[in-house]
Amino acid sequence: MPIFTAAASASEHGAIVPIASTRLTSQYSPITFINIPQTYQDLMVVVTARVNGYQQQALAANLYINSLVQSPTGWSGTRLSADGYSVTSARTLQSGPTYGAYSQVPSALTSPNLFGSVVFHILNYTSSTLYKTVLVKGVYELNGYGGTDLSAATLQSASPVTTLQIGSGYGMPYFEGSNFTVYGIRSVGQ
Amino acid sequence: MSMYPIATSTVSGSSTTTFTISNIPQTFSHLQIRGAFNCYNAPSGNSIYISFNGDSGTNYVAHYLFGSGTAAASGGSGANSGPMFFANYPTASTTSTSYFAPVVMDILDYSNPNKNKVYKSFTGYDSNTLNVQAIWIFSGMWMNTSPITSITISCAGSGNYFISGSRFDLYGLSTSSVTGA
Repeated sequence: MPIFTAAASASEHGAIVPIASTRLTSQYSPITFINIPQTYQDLMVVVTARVNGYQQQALAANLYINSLVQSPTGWSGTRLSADGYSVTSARTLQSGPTYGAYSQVPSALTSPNLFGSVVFHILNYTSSTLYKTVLVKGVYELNGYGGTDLSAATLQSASPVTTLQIGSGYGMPYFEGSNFTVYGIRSVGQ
Repeated sequence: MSMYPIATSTVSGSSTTTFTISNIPQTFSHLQIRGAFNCYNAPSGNSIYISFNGDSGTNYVAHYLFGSGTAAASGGSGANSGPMFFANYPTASTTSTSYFAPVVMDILDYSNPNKNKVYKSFTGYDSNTLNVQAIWIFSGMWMNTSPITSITISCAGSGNYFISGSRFDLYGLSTSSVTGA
């Protein structure tokens, strides 16, 4: 199980600091980042990925906070999606299947070079009083099938974010070449 | 493209109704605002407004694409409106102050003296079992070509104020002098 430890500090200039990254060389899911430093204002997670999804055209890339994919309780999320034909909005609650914060990425076996892009924003991730709301923006294109997703998902927990885990629809593995990077966003004085 | 922090502001009391960031340097190509906030003393789902350079006149317009969790919708202001919305806040209940709404907003070419200023913002919230939720993408325009030197953010409605801990950070984005990227 690949687990990636975030850098304790970084010397890069500017506000966006890469703190952990991996590009898969073999199929795997979930991807786990531990020891997230508590020294930034926000986190941003950038994913370019493709899932081995049997006959599915696209599957979810799910972000979870401080818990393993198998026990992601306390999440709810609201989503706005467009697939080229219609725009819809839907919601998931902790009483149902728990998806964490998610968008879709390509999963068709016949499209080996098609990777989706997803960006997760986690603001105030070090707060010990606020629940954690994640903004998600994702796109996937499969030459005849595709879409865009916007969503806001909240984990009803005030614990600071120390671990991030990126799972996938039905637990299917991400293909080789999928890339996952965690950035810290500095504020003034950080 | 690189991003640099310019200013940060956090509410520590209970009577703050506006944030103002002034003396914005003109040395960047674009601006980004990142914030997390909630307001109190109004019905849930009210708006957060933005204005530039102290202009409170009817020089703004805005539109949005919105998802409620059950339906998608679009709307906007009329022409020549006052300071415009760029985000909404989740709930006005004092028992739910753990729910903040995040927002990421971009203002491109903010210092160009020949362009009206356009912004786009991405925001949303989901308050779990309180069942107050939405996802938004906003566009807005300030019909003025002046370079942006100050930004004011306020809760909608009389008597409303930001809940303690609400904060907004301003960033400047620089571009390459070689590629213009």
